Amino acid sequence: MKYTIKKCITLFISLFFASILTFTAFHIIPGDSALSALGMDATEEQLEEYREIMGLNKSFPERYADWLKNALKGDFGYSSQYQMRMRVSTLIKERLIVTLWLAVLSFMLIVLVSIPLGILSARKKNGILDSLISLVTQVFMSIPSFFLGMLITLIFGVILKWFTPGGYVSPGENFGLSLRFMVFPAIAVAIPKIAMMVKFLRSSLLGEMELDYVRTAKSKGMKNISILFKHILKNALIPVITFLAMMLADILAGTILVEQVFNLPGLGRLLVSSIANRDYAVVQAIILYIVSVVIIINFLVDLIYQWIDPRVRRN
Amino acid sequence: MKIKGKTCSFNYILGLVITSLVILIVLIGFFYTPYDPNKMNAALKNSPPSLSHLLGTDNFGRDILSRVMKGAGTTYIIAVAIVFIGALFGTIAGALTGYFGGWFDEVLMRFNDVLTSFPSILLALVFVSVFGPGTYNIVYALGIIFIPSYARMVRSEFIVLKERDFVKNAKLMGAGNFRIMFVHILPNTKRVLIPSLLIGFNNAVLAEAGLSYLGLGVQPPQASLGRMLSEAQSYMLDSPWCAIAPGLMIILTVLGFSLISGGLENE
Repeated sequence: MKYTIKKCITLFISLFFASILTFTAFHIIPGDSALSALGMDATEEQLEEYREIMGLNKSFPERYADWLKNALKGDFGYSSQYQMRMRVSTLIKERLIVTLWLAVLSFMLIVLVSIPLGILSARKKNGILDSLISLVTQVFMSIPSFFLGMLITLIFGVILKWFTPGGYVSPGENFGLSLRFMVFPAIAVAIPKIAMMVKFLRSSLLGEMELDYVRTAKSKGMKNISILFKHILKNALIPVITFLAMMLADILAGTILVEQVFNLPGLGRLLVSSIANRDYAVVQAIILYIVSVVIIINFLVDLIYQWIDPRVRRN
Repeated sequence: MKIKGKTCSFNYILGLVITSLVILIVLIGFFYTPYDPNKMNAALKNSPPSLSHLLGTDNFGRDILSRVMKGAGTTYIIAVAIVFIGALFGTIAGALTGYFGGWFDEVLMRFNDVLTSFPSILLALVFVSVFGPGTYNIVYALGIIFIPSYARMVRSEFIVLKERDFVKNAKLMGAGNFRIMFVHILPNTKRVLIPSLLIGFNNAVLAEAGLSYLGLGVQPPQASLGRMLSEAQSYMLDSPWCAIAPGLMIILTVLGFSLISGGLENE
């Protein structure tokens, strides 16, 4: 119980700190936003009026509190980069599904591929298969994800014509088609992470295999495979869970680049274009979203961790 | 295979070979490139590899080989600068907090934890959106972002090493704290520090490539490997060599260094 409470406190402090950091970052930018919004011809009265309406005359903590209050209600203000005056929250809602879909698909791919490969690599330790997997892993960790995306587009999209580059379909419209398209960007995001996971899982499994309980089980006559699945795997997967949580942050970062390559209308592309267009309201909101998601998931993983591994609770 | 009594794995040798090749290309690039990397030649737009242009030309008619040589150089310098900033300040911070401990250490560690929960590209994007894109800005941004991981690593080494006998001996002989930290303890962190410098270099290269690809890093007409990839993307169908050359350069660079650092760790 103490562990849970400690983690809850850390959660709120982290979220609070993250929000302050995000807010501060975008409000130390020099320049008068009233001037840039209304133009050089505006009179002093008009500028003053704008400042009043936008709340620019309030003190810094006040502005932060206002922003936070609105943010918790889901109101992030208005975007400045499009012709139509769009609410930031509308923009984000549209794009969120795409990014989420990509992240979930990538995550599933990572888990489905890396666990068997990791087990294989550990069982056939120092064999040809192991060395091969090792080398391939190293190579794939050296490929930038966006370049991988470009290669995938070239090979599977243009040459083999298994999908149409740039043809995104939302899962709501047509799930099958959406899957057929999205699996490729998901592969681009997943492959470098799979490489890291395989390496990590392999060393975790090998570490477990050295322990006494394995020798005990073998001497009692258990077959290697049974030992593997009934005992070792469960223990070796524990650190892997924290690694997966770290992966999540990486996956979200990976989607930013991959969305650019495959032209997906997701949060990542919105973020990049908003930065280029100096649409700070949007950038702030997206950053806060992503960071909060990462912090919350890490918190949940910490909770799950203590449920799985009783040793953590005792400390 | 044994060299100087140490057993070298195949991977290590391969890493050394690849890295030497790559560094050689870049070094030559500093003094000589077959063509001016920025010289456009509309007549030769998008031509495939040939005897006169070994890696072909891009959509402006610029020689790709020359651009890769210069671009890789730019990318490397940026990556080295980033690792330098991160490792220098990170090591100092880690040494101080690991050695002295106390409440300052606790606070810094909490700070560190929160910082590492941000994906690093995100932090870099925040920095760039506030201060604007450009080569120097991404060096500062990524350099600062790399500090926490070096600090954490050096700190844990110091925490372990400061309890060792050679430190106690030095104290008995009257050595001052700073002398102990930097003359005695620090050299003993070499085994962990050096592979992490190599890995840091790799991460910096990939991060710079990513940011430049998004258009937020190195600005045209300066060449960097990431920039070349984003320029080449629209022409992938007709002239894939425009993208394959810089991409391959990145892969070889990162692969070479990671094989070396893997080899070092296995000793």
